[in-house]
Amino acid sequence: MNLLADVRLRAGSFRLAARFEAAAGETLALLGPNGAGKSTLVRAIAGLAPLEEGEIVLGEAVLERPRDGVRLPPPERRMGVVFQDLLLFPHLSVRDNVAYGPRSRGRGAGEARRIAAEWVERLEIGHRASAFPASLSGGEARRVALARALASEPETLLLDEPLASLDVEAVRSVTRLLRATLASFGGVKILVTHRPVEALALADRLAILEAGEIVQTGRPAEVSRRPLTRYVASFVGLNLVRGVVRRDGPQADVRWEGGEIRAARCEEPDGADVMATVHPRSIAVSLERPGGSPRNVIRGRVGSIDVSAGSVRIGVDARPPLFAEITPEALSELRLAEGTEVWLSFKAAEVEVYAG
Amino acid sequence: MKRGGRSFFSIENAFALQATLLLAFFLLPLAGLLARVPWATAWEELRGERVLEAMRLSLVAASLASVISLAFGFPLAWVLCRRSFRGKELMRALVLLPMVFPPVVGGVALLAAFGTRGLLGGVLAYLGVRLPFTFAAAVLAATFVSAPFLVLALEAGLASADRRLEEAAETLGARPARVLSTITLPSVRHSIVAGLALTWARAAGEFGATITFAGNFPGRTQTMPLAIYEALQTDMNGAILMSVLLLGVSLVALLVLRRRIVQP
Repeated sequence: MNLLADVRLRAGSFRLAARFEAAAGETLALLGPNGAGKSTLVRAIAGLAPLEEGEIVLGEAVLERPRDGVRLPPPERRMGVVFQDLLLFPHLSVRDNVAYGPRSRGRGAGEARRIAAEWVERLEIGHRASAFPASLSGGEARRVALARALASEPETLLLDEPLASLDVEAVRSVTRLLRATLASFGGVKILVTHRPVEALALADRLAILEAGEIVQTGRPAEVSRRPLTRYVASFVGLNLVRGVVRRDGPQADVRWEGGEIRAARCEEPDGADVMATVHPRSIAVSLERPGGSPRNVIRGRVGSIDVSAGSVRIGVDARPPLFAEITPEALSELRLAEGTEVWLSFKAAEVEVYAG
Repeated sequence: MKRGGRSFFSIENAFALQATLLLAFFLLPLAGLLARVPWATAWEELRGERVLEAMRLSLVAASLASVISLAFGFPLAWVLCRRSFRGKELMRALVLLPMVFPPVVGGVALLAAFGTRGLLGGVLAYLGVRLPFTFAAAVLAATFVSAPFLVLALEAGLASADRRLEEAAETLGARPARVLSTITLPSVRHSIVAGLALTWARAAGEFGATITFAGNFPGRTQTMPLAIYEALQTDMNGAILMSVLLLGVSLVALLVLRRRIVQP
């Protein structure tokens, strides 16, 4: 059953106005920075935060539509939620936590126990079935929360940061179980995360949530290739500039209030709002104004230097702010430090322009 | 005189001295009581009909008062904690009202409300109910003075309970009644136990409101504190023995309902 969520609500001064659809069987990652409203969105879909406007529709069933005065309470929505803080019941054993859903849905004690035992085994926590939540490790607790949600016979899965704050070993085992779980679950699966790598690894499609709004949706490959916001660009590792096209034959300038960037190819019409991306590896860094052919030359000051496996990422405060990727050798040769004045240059052919 | 670089007249030392004095002040009367117990004749004294009757009345009255307090106090605490409405602060102040009543005044007030010529006297008479100077009056008097302890303990417990656990239960399919019985009540069970212990102890020790509203009738309304007071005029040994017995029973009750009482 497909899920349509059009969630509009206010929480204090925060406004959530997010609309997305997800198909049965699909895993949709809701990806966004901290404070974007991801958990509020999950709560709204689960029925724990009332909408002010919009609707939540699962298949043919309207779960909530304020306009028509429809609002199903959480027990009737059949959403299997794994909360970010798990919220395991501290006074119940693992087995009873997992059996809680089936019991609440009217199953007899014996049958609920059997269903719980099955899920406890599938998530490989059978040996901890009699334990209480306080004694579980992070990975075990996560698996119990997952088993508890699945045992309640949900039609939709809402997983809020299922891999957050786990150690490396636990991330590996929980990821493996999560992948298997997602593959065998036929309904809509919503995976909330602030970590792009999780979204890219587990989701069929991404929906990017920023400041309470969905700013981009698409398959991971599409989103990585053509980011629509600076946040998306930064996690896929691209520099992004938003501007207006001024055509010049096959070439074009992308202009914004702070300057312009020259692109060798542009298929968008004159005056169109566009995104321009350039890969950090395509940007050269020098101390003197570079001579020769590059069409884009920008002056700035080094703001940050990140050294990671084999490459150095330099954040430059310029107009626009850009990241450049250079080799460790280049870093020592140029004697760069925070505050050093540098020139950035890149070819017009390295700039990709697309509609925003 | 210096120790570890600190003056002997430090805040720590002053506080330690004051704390010791207060504890000694608590302990000395208990020691005095125990020192004067006529152990030799204790058994004979306590077997007396009157003592057993008074003990039974105290136990039953305090237990009934606790049960009534819980039955009506939990909903009240829940409303105070979970609902927001106009006049909530006034309501909270009302809960504290019996605590600021001197117990004797509470008894007089109960008479003024439920007595034959009281506010509800006519209604009660019409219903054929006569409360003053009955065992029911003793139970009501104990409830009046002790219920606020339970409401306060429960409200604090509910306020510190994690409501998100209830939300998690809802998403798993639990309807409100089930959420209440399987999540909310278990998560405030320590507050319930601690509150019941305080309530019971307060009810078992109730004197002023009881003697005013229920009178001092052996076998009907004469609870232990009343019996002790009466014995004090004629039979000091008996009074001391009964005091120690009541103290012992209250201590046992506190220990049975133990643990979280002193802890936050």
